Amino acid sequence: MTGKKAVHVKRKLIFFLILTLLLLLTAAFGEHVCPYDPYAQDLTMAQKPPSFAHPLGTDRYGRDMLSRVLVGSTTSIFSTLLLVVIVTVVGTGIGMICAWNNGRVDTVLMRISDLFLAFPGLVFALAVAGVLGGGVHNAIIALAVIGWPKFARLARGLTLAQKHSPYMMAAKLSGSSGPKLLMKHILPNIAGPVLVTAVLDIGTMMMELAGLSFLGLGVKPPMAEWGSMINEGRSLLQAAPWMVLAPGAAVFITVMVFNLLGDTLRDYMDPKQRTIEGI
Amino acid sequence: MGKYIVKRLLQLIPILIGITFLSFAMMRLAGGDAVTYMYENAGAAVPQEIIDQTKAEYGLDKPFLVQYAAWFAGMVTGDMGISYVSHRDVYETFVSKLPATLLLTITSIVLTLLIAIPLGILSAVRQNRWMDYLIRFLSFIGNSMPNFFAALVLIYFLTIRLNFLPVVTNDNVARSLVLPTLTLSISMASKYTRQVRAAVLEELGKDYVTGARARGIRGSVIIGRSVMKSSMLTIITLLALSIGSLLGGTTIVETIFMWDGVGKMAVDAITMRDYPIIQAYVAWMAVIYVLVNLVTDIVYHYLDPRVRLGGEEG
Repeated sequence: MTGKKAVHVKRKLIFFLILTLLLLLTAAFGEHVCPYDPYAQDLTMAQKPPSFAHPLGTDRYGRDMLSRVLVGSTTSIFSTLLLVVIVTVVGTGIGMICAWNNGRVDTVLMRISDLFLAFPGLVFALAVAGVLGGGVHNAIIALAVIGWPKFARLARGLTLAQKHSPYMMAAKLSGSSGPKLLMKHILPNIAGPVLVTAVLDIGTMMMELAGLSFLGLGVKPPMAEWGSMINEGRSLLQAAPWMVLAPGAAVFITVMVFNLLGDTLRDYMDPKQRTIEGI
Repeated sequence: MGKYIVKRLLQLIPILIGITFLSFAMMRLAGGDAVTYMYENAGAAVPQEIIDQTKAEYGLDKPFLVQYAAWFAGMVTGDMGISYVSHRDVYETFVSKLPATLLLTITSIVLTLLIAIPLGILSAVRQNRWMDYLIRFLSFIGNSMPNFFAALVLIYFLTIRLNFLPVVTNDNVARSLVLPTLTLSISMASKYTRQVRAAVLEELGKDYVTGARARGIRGSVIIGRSVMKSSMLTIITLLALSIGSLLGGTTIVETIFMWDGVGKMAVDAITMRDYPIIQAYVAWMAVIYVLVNLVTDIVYHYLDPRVRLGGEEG
């Protein structure tokens, strides 16, 4: 019975990994597969509903929506992944160092993380993005600033749990030094939960990044990005709803795929959780 | 209990100082050119003396820590300076817009609970039947939808297609409250339905439930009397955590629906680089958030007999 379930989870995992791979390929080659130039304006074709020539319609400047959604995927997906990688690496690094050095370094860094956790996340990100001015880089910085403490907390707890285990004693006795112990012995043992948390975070991060762009604090037009495209289409919701629905559906589907991947990965890594959470 | 509250209040002081300092420092880091920017906004090239004079007027020529101390004192006494754009009192502006945001937050939380608790329980009780699958499917969809997209989809279908609800009305608060509340509740309710389900399932697996069943107590009574009581703890914690995302989430929703609250005020201020307003917004939102968390901890402390009776270590 449990064996059967494990096979089922594994199959699901492979399925969602393939879907994720497809999304990543789209993001990587979006520029090359789009049928039209995503920035070429053709006012005679402005605000045309979806048709055979333009499956997702055209926007107010006659630009092909499908091409813009495809090109936008590069910015939307890769900037989200970059953000998640930054937050995970920085947070995990800080957390491990805190747990290892527990003492003054630990106290100071953890108080700082308390401080960031005390802010309602998006409020702070809004302010940071606003202060730095718009742009993808600044939006990523803004969200990274509020994102790392969560991973620092997690990594710190996990490292502390490993620190006094017998295998660590053995490694210490055989003469391994601090950095080597952290990288070679602790990191592989805490990587699982950290990875699951990171993948589960991709969806949220993507929505927050798109949210900043939507407010005009992330990617700026004419550059194609899903959040700012939805914002562009907002005023024409009545006349050309596809301008909102196309990029919106793209965000929705991408977030859903990453969420499903995260959930399945968690089930795969932690079979105990499965009986409680279901799925 | 009293001792615990005092202890928590004392712990609050360094955090509050940290929060306000951080919000202040952030604005000052970027805000050096605020005066120049202000004149550029007005479209005039201004000699250096006037810039210096204006800086002095706003207190921007003093050392950093002096500025912070003055601002912090102002925050406590309700004098947070004057907006660079509207030249109105910042504190008054903030206070006049806060009720609208609080109203939206409260209605959203209430609607979220009204959706999430019954659906979560239903989903748990009917675990792995079609009802459970349907609820989980819906909550998954709600969870993957950015709230600004959900808002626009709601506007499109309910307002434009069905002509059912207004996006903005001036005369009827209740009617214009529906769409923003619905938007905010969709994603929150999706999240909490899953959490309530997990919490209830965990309780249902415990021995006392089996015991109660064996004694012939009806399922609805077990759920209503025992399971709900212990699941409440989880739900309260989640609710408090959601306040943070809600405070941030209202900014986007307020902007879309032209809801005249502090969130919209902040977004407008950010586009105009109205630093005193942004500063006040960030600092006050953080303070509200911290206070809500504190109250939750205290309620939690009070509700959980294990914590309440198990000593004062907290």
